[in-house]
Amino acid sequence: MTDPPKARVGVRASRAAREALANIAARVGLSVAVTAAFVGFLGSCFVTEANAVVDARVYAARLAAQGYSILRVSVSQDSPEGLKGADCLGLAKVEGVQAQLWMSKAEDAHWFAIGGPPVPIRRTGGDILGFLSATNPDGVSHWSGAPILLDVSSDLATGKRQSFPVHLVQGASGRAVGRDAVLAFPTSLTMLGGGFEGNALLVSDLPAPNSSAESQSVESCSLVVREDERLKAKNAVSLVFSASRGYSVQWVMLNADALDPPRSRFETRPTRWLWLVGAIVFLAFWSLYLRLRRSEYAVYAVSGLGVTKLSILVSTEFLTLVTVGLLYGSPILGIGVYRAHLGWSEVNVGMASAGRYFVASLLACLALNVFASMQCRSATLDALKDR
Amino acid sequence: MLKVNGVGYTLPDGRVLFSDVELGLVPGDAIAIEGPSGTGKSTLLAVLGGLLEPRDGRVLNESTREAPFAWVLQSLNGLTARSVLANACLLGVLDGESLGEVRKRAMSLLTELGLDRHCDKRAKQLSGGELQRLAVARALASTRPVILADEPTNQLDRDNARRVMRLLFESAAVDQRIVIVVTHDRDALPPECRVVTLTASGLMDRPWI
Repeated sequence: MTDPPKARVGVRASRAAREALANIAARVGLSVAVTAAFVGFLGSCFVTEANAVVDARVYAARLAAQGYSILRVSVSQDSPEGLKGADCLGLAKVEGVQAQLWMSKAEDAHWFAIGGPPVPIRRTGGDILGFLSATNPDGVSHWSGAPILLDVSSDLATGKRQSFPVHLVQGASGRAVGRDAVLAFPTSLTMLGGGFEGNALLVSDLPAPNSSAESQSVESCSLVVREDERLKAKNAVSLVFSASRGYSVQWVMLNADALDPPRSRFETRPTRWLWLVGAIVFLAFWSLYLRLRRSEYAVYAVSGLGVTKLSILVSTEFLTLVTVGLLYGSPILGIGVYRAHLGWSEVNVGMASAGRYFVASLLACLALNVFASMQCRSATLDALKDR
Repeated sequence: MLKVNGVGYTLPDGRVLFSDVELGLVPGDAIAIEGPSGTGKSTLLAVLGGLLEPRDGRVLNESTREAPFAWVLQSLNGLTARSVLANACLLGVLDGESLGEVRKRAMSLLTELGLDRHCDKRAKQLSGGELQRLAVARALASTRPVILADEPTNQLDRDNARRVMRLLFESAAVDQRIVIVVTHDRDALPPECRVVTLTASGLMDRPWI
């Protein structure tokens, strides 16, 4: 075996570091590419995450401005339990429920005609009218009756007319049942979300008896819930109408996902892992750089730089590029933060993501540098012929 | 002094490449190792330079330097993005020698090897033969006590090959160091240099014919 002599003088670490700087200067294009990639990923992490805070804030403001959510209670057809109009009315006592609306089953629909083919219109009830009046005063201002009839075919009333007469008919045949027309007023129910994209017809009189309305089976019950009480309200309703008994209690809106609490939505955002993706991609980029420089590092390896000194050389190249990147990138990021009027929380979240990316990339690349330095020996042996 | 006692090397597949290699070299000695392809000349060089551990025997290097070897390899010819002069000065710079002296020596060697007009060019602009001469200049410009050269002339024309070999062998005497050259190019070797042939059973001295 080869005997190592004692007290040898070797290549100093500072010389290895100086070589690293000379190499960087000699490969300006590659150096700029690495620096730009590192800072680019860092900036992307910062900007994306800071934007996520802004988005969450906008979203929270939108929910707060909207002020309510719609919770729908329904029962599956094969469930032995039923759902009655009175059950829905009872939910008015739940804390946070501002209004409620029940809707009769499809098979119990009445048929009305408004100068055209007959359409099914279902009976509804509840104190939704007050809520609709508050949110859409014009749409209900002329109405003075008790029940509300919903247009489930949705294209019947356009809302362009203030009121028009409707006739009760016999099923789909269209044969008139009552002698007089009743007056109907259209109002938009789009605000109630999924299943309520059409318009409501508010009619002044109802041919069917009103007294039994609350005791009849209903298809669903929609509750208008205050935003600040939405979770509490849902828990309370779910307790009464449990899933084990065949009930379903769900938030409904045009964008159902928009019903997550802003914080929970923010905390589960996919971009929270961007730092990891960035670090992995940059690590791949850096490994490519090392691969490209492999033969040069092998020259250093045969020139007397052991694994430690070679690691110092490679890591000095890496740290220099990163430092230069930060020196140039930080002011640009600072100007961006200033011009975008970002607050502390946005900067904080952005910095956290950028910091994670920075530390992860740093540690991973330094580890890779050591690994690559250890591999240089094999590159040297590859350079020997006839072995 | 570089002393090789009973060194042998077995390939991972169990084939014995060579065994019982005995060699004793002192500063000022220069040898050329020859032999048919596949006999393990480059492997022996790697064992002598500490890149590979011998399976048997021992290599004793009495140099007081941590990095005593100046290598001339066939494919690792330089730092391609750096200047030719920087490449020639590399070992001297790493060893902490005075930059002025290293540059002076390097310039002199580059001139002798016909590379002086390329000093400021990047190494990647050189041809294969020029890169090989640059690798020789880098080794010779250093003060390292042992030069290990693996076929340093295989990409060179006759004149340049002879010039390179002459410089390598002269360097042993002039700079008082050990020079070991693995080569197939007997024509390029200077007259009266020591040539040994590697066989499976060790090194055999062969008088120059």
